[in-house]
Amino acid sequence: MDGVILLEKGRISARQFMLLVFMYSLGTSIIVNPSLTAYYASMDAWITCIISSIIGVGIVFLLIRVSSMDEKKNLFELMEFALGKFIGKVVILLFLFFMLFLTATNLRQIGDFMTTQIMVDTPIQFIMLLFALTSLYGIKLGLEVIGRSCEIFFPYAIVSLILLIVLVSPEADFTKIKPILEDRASAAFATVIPTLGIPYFELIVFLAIIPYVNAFKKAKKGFYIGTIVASFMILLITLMCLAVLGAEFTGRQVYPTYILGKKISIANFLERIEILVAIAWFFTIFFKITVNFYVLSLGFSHFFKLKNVSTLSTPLSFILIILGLISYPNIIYYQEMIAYYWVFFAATMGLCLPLVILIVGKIRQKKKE
Amino acid sequence: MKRMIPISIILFMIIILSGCWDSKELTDISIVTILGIDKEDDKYKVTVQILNPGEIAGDTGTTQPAVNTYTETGNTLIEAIRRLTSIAPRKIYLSHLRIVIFGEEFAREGIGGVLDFLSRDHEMRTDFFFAVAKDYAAEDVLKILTPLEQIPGNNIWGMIKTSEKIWAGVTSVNIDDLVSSITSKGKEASITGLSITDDPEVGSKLTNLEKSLPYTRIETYNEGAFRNDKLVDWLTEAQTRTVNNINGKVQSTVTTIPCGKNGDLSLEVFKTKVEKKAKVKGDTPKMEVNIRVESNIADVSCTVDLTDPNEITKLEKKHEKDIEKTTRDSIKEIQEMGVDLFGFGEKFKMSNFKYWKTVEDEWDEVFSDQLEVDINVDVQIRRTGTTNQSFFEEIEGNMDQEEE
Repeated sequence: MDGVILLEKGRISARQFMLLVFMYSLGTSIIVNPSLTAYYASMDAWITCIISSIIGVGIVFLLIRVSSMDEKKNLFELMEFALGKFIGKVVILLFLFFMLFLTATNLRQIGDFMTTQIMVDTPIQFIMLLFALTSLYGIKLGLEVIGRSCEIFFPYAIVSLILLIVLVSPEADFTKIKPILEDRASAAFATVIPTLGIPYFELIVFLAIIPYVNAFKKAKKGFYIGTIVASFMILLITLMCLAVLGAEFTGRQVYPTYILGKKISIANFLERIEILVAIAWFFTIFFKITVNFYVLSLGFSHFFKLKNVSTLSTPLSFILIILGLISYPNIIYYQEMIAYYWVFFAATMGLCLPLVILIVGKIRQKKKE
Repeated sequence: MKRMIPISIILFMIIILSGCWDSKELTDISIVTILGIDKEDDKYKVTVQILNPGEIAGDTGTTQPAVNTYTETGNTLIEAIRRLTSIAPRKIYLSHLRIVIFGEEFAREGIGGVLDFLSRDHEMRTDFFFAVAKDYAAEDVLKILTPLEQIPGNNIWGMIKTSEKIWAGVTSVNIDDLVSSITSKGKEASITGLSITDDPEVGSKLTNLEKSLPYTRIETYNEGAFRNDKLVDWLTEAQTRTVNNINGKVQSTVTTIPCGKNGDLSLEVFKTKVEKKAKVKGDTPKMEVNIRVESNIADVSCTVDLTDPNEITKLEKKHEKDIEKTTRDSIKEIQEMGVDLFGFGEKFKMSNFKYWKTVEDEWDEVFSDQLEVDINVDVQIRRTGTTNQSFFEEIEGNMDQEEE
């Protein structure tokens, strides 16, 4: 354990941590969730959003309990502490595999989005390369820089999203979400399961960062606020998609949020500004990739007992691009995975793992006393 | 060596940041403003109207028209559009599409086959309108050059948009409205009709525009009623306006009633609020439609005392009766047609889902046979324009007084 605690020397403020949580939670879900929920839950998709965000807050509560066992230890140290040196290492390896997959997926998502909607003739590899290299640069510079740049870019993301919601609201027709919970009501509850996978079960990565926040108590609060505000944004966007585009149309789109942006038309003058959505998504998914990538590097450095977080980050970035390219043959495969399988994979790491750490860790702590 | 790293990074940045992979120069693309779709045998026949940039941007007009049209066929829409390269020199660019026009024959056979491409292609936006060419093929409409607006696409788009705003004779239908109307069981679509006066061949020549009133013109012609994706019938003007009124699409319009012996009185409607309430009594579905109209007196050609509040109330009552009658008649006619253009089915779905489930599959029959529609109209006259009393009665020898 010696020296490991010094792996990351930088400290971020609780505010930066909160903003990172916010950006991370919106990262994929802002563009994936409306389509996913509307496809399965139809016009009750917003109810699905509310339920999953309530459960999401419960997950944050669980994660904070885990972290509170020893607020100085990061996720990997907690695993070793709770599960012992050997099993701990095995679980860390499994977790890193999950992270590798998650980060590669995120890279592929932004690539798919760009090549579908905006830059159709550009090879996906280059878009993924640009994002991976930018994230890599962030990791080389350290956690402090990531936190501060998040603070700088947060206004762009939130202003774009709020503008989107405000500008598209004249087109909204809330009768489109009626009847409430009558048509296949059970679907609204069943759809909660896949929506939990993005982003709530993925929030466990923040356990690796929370020890580096300079005030733990404030960080706990920030964790809640970041998640709740992000969930609220997802709810608003989903509601707008339903009220403007209608449930069926939303469900049929790959990127309904982008189509929502296309609907903005104020006085025949303020229109064609759907790039707002893309801006919001660039920033949020960039921080999602960066945080994931950072935790991945941190984990590998911990696993191999390296002195520096970023030692393995360069080779990792290339592995991520290749993995992102080969992990899905096409977008249909990806959508099916998100709808049916991802949540179980994510739940293993995002729900079972913290539960096990918490229970075993508590027993160990009792024994020591 | 230490200097080499930043320099190489800068050079690398120049390569990746300076250019856009997907850049399309104006000289490499053909901007399409209207897309016309017909059927030829089993294939789609696509006609595109492409801007002639030199003609539009240039200061001095040449002898070329502002637009060119090209036609090509294909098994699918995109196949036909890509095949257009065999006659058009540049890549077809669809982001500035204004109107999609279906030929009547094609519309009667069903438009479902082409809607997928229109919503799937990334170049497509959602702000273009649909129209059906009455009695003609879409190709014929696309040929015609228009006055005032050099670009026919903008001309037709403007006609539809303006009509929607001040007359409510036709309304704009865009792709998501159309797709949701076609897929929904409780609502059918109605699409703007376009008709051509006289010979399309004459209209395709620049000489057509040399008269103050062009010989061949494109006009909007009410709306065509669709069952699912097939055109079934054309609506009359009264029916079209009733459909638009009940669907809450009227922004401003004019209603006229006879007044006095030979005169008329028009109200300019500036605000309409429509409320639809679905009820089920026993087994019969009942629809309550409340229309609230706020209006100004706009045009008087009869003897009426506009300074008397009682007279105004009388006028309101008269208008209420008149609107109620036309609305009732139109609804009855459309019920006989058997297409629920009003979205009454959707209302039942929203308010009484259990009942809706029982009639969902035979809604067309229920709509035409069982549905009772109850109409309440409330007309409010707010102002009289800039004039109080009409000077009509002062005109010597006008018809009203002649007969007295």
